[in-house]
Amino acid sequence: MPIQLVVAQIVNGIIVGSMYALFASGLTLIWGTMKMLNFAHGEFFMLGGYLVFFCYAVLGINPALSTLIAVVAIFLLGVVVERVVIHHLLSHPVWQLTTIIATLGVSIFLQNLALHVWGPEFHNVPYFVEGVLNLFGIRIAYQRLLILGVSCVSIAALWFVLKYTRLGLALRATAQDADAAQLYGVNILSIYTLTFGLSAGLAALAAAMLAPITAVNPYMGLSPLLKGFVVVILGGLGSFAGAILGGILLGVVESLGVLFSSTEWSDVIAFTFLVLVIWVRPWGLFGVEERN
Amino acid sequence: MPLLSVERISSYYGDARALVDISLEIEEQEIVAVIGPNGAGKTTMLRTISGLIRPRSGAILFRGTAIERMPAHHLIRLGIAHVPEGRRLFPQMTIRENLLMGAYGAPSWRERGTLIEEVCDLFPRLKERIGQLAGTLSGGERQMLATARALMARPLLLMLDEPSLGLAPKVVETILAIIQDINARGVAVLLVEQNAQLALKVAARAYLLETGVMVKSGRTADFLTDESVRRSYLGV
Amino acid sequence: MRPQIRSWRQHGIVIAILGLLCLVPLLVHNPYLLHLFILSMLYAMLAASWNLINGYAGIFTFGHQAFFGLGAYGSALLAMHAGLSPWITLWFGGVVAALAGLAIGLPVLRIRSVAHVAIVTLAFAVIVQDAVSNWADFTRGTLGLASIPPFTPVTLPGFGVISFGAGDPSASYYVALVFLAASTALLIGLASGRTGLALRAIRDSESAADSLGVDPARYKLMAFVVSSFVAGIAGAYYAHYLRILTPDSAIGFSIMVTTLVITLVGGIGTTTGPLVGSFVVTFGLESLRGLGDYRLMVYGVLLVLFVIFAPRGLVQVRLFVRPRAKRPHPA
Repeated sequence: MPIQLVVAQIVNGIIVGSMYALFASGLTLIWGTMKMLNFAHGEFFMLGGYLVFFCYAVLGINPALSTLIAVVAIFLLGVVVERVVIHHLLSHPVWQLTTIIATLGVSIFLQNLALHVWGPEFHNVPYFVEGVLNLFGIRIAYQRLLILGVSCVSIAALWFVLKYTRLGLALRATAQDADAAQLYGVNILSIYTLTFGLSAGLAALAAAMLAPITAVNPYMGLSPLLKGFVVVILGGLGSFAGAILGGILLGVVESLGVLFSSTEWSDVIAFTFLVLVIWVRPWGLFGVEERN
Repeated sequence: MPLLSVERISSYYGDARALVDISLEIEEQEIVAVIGPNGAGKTTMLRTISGLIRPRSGAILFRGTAIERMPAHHLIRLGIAHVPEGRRLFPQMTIRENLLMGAYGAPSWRERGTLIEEVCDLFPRLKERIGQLAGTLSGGERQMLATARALMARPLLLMLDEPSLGLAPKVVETILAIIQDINARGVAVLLVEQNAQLALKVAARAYLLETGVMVKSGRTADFLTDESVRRSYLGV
Repeated sequence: MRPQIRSWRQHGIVIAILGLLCLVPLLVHNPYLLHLFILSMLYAMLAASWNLINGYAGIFTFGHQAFFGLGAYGSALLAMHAGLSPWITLWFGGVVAALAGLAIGLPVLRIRSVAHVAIVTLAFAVIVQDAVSNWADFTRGTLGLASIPPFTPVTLPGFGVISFGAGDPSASYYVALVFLAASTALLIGLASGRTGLALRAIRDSESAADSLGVDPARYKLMAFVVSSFVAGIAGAYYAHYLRILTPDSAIGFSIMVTTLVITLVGGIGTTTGPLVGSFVVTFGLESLRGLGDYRLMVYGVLLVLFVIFAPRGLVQVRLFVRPRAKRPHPA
């Protein structure tokens, strides 16, 4: 096996993995602050993809603006969903289960809405940038480099916000101790809404970047959702760094796995990898050990 | 007008009535103790005052404003700081970040910086370890940090829930001294303690809460001479 | 609260429902309606088995569809390749599912975090589904299995020869009812007995149960294995009744969603919940068919509305409350 092929796959894995990372970081942020699993996350991704398709491929709006529109629109959708659906559930018992079911309901609704509006066909989105870079015999499409660039910038921006801004402080405080956060002035209900919206926006961003590579269809959210959960557990629930590293790790494992078997088995490989890791280290790479 | 006035508050924990028509008052710059056995409702009372629990009936007035229906995150702005049971620090944040959270409501980062300086002067131990994660601190250091964090908010009323819990006697002495120091600087203190002896050392007045009912209130001297209090809570 | 009386009332309702179900084929002759009844009964079995570990023990698994599918495929493949009667392979399907339950139960039940259990069990089910899809040589992959042998005819004294697979589904109906009744009895028996008490103790406080000498691991595992066995039986019956299987129809995530919905609608942690819920949901979904394209969108909306306004389910028994559960959210 030529070393270039392996390297190319690793690079590809890192690139796709960085998108998993963005997608998963949204999930882990929601878990961290609200202690719930958002099963509608895949649909935020899917709708983000459709919006980019609609704006760029259909209306011809320039890709950067299309992406921005998609991200903002889905952010707002996330805010609406949180306020309308999730909000009441959080203060009632068994919220861990009711929020899952509620987000499943939202997911079913959105998926079938997309199906109704756009039909079941796959739609292609043209590359934002054309051309291929040739580096030491490895060919990388500029589109993929763009993805890498966008993910690096987004992740850095997120990290900066979390670590150094007042909002980030409030977010982390809510995640670590919501009662104490309230006592010191954090409006945790607003934090919940903001986190949910932010998370949705991140999913949409990931979709905008991936749409030219994978086609857009109503069911495109399911596989990322499952993988997103895998990454979140792998990295440790609630850990932002864990989600990023876990996402990249999953991407690389998947890409290398494709080299040795076929694409159909890539999901199986990914999930089996997860189950094995959890067996050995249940709280993930960066998770805090849960002492009930 | 008293600084804080709790008027016939009834609070529930789930379906069970935890507080039955309790009342208490704190004047400015007073130290008031609330003692009573485990499970009496002392923590529920503090959580009701600070807005984490909404009372079913009654009123709470702070400087004349009714606060019993206000959401918890508004109260720190009014000047009420609550150091909860178990301290409830942010374990994965550094000492510095915990303190910053105390000043979350401050108008600017510069203001926060100034406050950290001031507070660290009071707590040199914390200043030494300012970059350390709160989760790795010892019990006494945690209590100091929790108290320091509350001070960052420049409160008018400081409410402490069982500050001596789990601490060695020597450390407890230090904490008591700090409480008195804070009080001397103009902050009223509501001290909830299972350790009555301790609480009565620093408080001017006290209340006794038993199974959700205020059974006694008065000056510390009255408590210290009361036979039943001495027997049940002072180990005499 | 007098749990004894309450549970007798619930048992009474279950018996009444089962009794009524006996009468249905005498009154209803429309084969499609009978078909819906049969599906409801199978889902009731599935939901009841899920309810045992989730409702009573408070562990939320999201991979139950794997056991259903393994039972279905296991029984179907054995019947097709070894020529054995489905009456035999059905049990084999159940055992395969039970073994899978044991295999996934051992590592999963050690984990105490709800989210972990949910995701790991979901991952497990996806692995099973993908493996079945990809192993096309054996399972025909996404094309699915067709012409699965139906149950072989049975001779009953007084009724003559009863055959399955074509025409009147009444025979299939009654067999399904027998399985439903048997599994309900089994699950109720477990839930009411020592295992059920242990499970509820675990749900309310694992450490308390631990300190009382209740070995959580053993009871959880046993419940898990029985639960997967019943799910497998339901799956196997489904395979030989419907005679067509695809990875999606037998192991797809939508099966889990439906199970969740049924248990929610009926009432989590109740005896009658899964039974009532499955009929309501199956027939309810059916009645939405008139909405065409909008059907599933309405389903999604109804789900959300239900969860917000009636989280305790139709059988209005008090939802289990964990008094010591972390409730970081403001009341």
